[in-house]
Amino acid sequence: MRAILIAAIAVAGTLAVGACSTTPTDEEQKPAGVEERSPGTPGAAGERPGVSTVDLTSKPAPSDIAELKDPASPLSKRSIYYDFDKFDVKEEYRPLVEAHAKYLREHPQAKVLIQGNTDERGSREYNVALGQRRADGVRRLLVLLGARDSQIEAVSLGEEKPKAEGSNEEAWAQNRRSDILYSGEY
Amino acid sequence: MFAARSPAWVRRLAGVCLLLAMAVSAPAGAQLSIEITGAGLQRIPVAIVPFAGEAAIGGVTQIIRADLERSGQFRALEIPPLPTLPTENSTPNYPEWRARLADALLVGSVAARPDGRYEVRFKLHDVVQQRDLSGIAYTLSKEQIRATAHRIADYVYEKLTGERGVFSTRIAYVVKRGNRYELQIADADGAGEETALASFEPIISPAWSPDGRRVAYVSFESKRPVVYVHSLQDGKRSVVANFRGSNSAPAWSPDGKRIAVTLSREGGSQIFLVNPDGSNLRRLTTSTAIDTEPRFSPDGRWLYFTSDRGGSPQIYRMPANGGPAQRVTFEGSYNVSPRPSPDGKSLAYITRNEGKFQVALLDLANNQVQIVTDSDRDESPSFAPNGRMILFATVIGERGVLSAVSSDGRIRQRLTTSGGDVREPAWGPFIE
Amino acid sequence: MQQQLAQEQQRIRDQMIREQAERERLALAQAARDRALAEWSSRIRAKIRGNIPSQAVQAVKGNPEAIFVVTLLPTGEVLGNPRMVKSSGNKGYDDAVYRAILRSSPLPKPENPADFRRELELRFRPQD
Repeated sequence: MRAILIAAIAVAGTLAVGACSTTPTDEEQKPAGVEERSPGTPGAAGERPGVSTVDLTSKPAPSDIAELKDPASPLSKRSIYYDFDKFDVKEEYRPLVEAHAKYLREHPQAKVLIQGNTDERGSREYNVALGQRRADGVRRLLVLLGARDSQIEAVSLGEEKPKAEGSNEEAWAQNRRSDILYSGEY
Repeated sequence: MFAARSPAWVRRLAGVCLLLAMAVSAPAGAQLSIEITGAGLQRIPVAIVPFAGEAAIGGVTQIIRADLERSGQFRALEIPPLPTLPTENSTPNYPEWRARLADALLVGSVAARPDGRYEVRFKLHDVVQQRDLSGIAYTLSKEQIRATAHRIADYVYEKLTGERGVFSTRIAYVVKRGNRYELQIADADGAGEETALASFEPIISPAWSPDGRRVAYVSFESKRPVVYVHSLQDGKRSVVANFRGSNSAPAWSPDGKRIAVTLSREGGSQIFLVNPDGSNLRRLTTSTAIDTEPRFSPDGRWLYFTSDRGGSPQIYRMPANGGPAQRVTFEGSYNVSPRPSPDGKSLAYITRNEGKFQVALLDLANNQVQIVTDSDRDESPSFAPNGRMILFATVIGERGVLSAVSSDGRIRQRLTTSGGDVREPAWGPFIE
Repeated sequence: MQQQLAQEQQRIRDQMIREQAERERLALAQAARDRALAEWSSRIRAKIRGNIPSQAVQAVKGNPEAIFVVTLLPTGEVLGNPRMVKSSGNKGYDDAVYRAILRSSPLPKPENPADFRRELELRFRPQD
């Protein structure tokens, strides 16, 4: 057990799928975590009842995602690549998407975030839209293959978070990409 | 054969008449008519006499000179060492300044007041027509020196070109340094840079409110694009659009009451209208394509936007309250980032021309296109509020920099900023 | 009689030759004067054009004509002010060319003072 103090970071609850914030919110400070007493601490015996911990920092226990990280498993592959200005999931990536759809079907509590990316060429805003189209394409395919819509969030990073720096086709090809991320990884 | 019978005197008379006739057809002494077409003067020469007494507060003259020269439309003449310099109260020796080829003469002074403030006065003279174009006296504090110098430069610019000057406006842009992104607000000459927002995640698409007090932008601080409105004075910001998926491309209506945004909440990327406080959401476009980068026309009646509904990204126009869209760009297979000019007569945008992304200008009356840059990765064009210059981002040697080009393509400038990778410029409005 | 006729014919032929030579001389003089005037016009055109600001030309729609008349002193100086006899319809352009004329004073002088003209008509258009 360790005392947990969480520095306030503004994360406006955006990762919950389907959450729509239509009212304006000023930058919020998230509540600090709760300090937990260890059994050896005076006063720990007979703790006050009725306090349950909301721990925003908890990550899934390692065993949950071992399967997702096992290099032998197709689930460890998380990226789908695209041709220039294209957003359809190419044949060669279908087995990958199928594997993730299967995992999601079998783990109804699991959630994924799909991030769509583009290469740097062209307008930033058009690339936000193109990235979104790529992420949405993966989401649709996952749903088609049995995952539930509520398990998936699809967002765009446009050209803003390239994996490969450089202004050549090699770098560009690496950046035209959708990534599948599971809870705890983002 | 000829009539040998005509008397000699008749023939001589005929000869003289012939001579006379020829003289008249060569109109000696009559008016000469000369045709003159086009123009040849790029920079109006102006003599700016150093402001008397300016040492007390730092250079006013230098800021005015730099502003006018930077516009590309003026040339500040070297003032020769003169035994006596003209002052605001004296009538200048016009023929002397004419001989120095000055079109105009600016004279001014700075004086400290007993209350700790300063008085800056100036007079502008039209040397060509030999008359006084008047001037202004300002009372100001030391902090307002730069702003006053810019206003004087605006005055000179307007009197001599007939156009409103933009030296007192501000620009916004994003700087990336390492893993840090900053939304910067600076004077139009790049001075006085202030950070409005600092973040470890990208910031894109800054958009000035029409009153110049707020900036809307897209922030990735929540790991996905969300639209904010940020009040510059107090740093307060509020969320405009934070729906499922992506929220981006904010554009203010000319009356400041609505913001157009691109949202993916209903599938695809579609354009919506929303109030700056996030209320009253209304969908505008209804295609299955990517519709994004909305921009209002200056009269508020139209919305220009980028769409790939025809198969490739092109620019379209629709009524600002919704309705059918018409295509606007027809040359080239990639046309994005529409920016209507302040007078509504032309449209700047980015076109892909032989693989290079360049700034183009479309004349909306006759549909003529002119590509005004010859660089490569140009982005994010933004008109100065007087429509004369277009600010844009480009890449020089792997670094993002800001450049400007005049609307006729003739004047090119590179803007120096304090380093880092600069992108996403937006020119602020006139401050009333 | 015969001889008188022949003499008369000879006299007329000589007269015609003289008149022809006179015409040719006048034509050459005229051509020379035309060339001199064209050369002088061209120097005036260049100087005035070089004083018309590009901005003034851009703002004009179409290609309307403005016509000014100037009176010159033999030094080339513009006497008084240029007189507008026809407006282009665009005040900014009218003003700009008016200033350009003044700015260009003194105008270049002709090579041959005899070619000097006191009055010039200047016809302006924004586009070539």
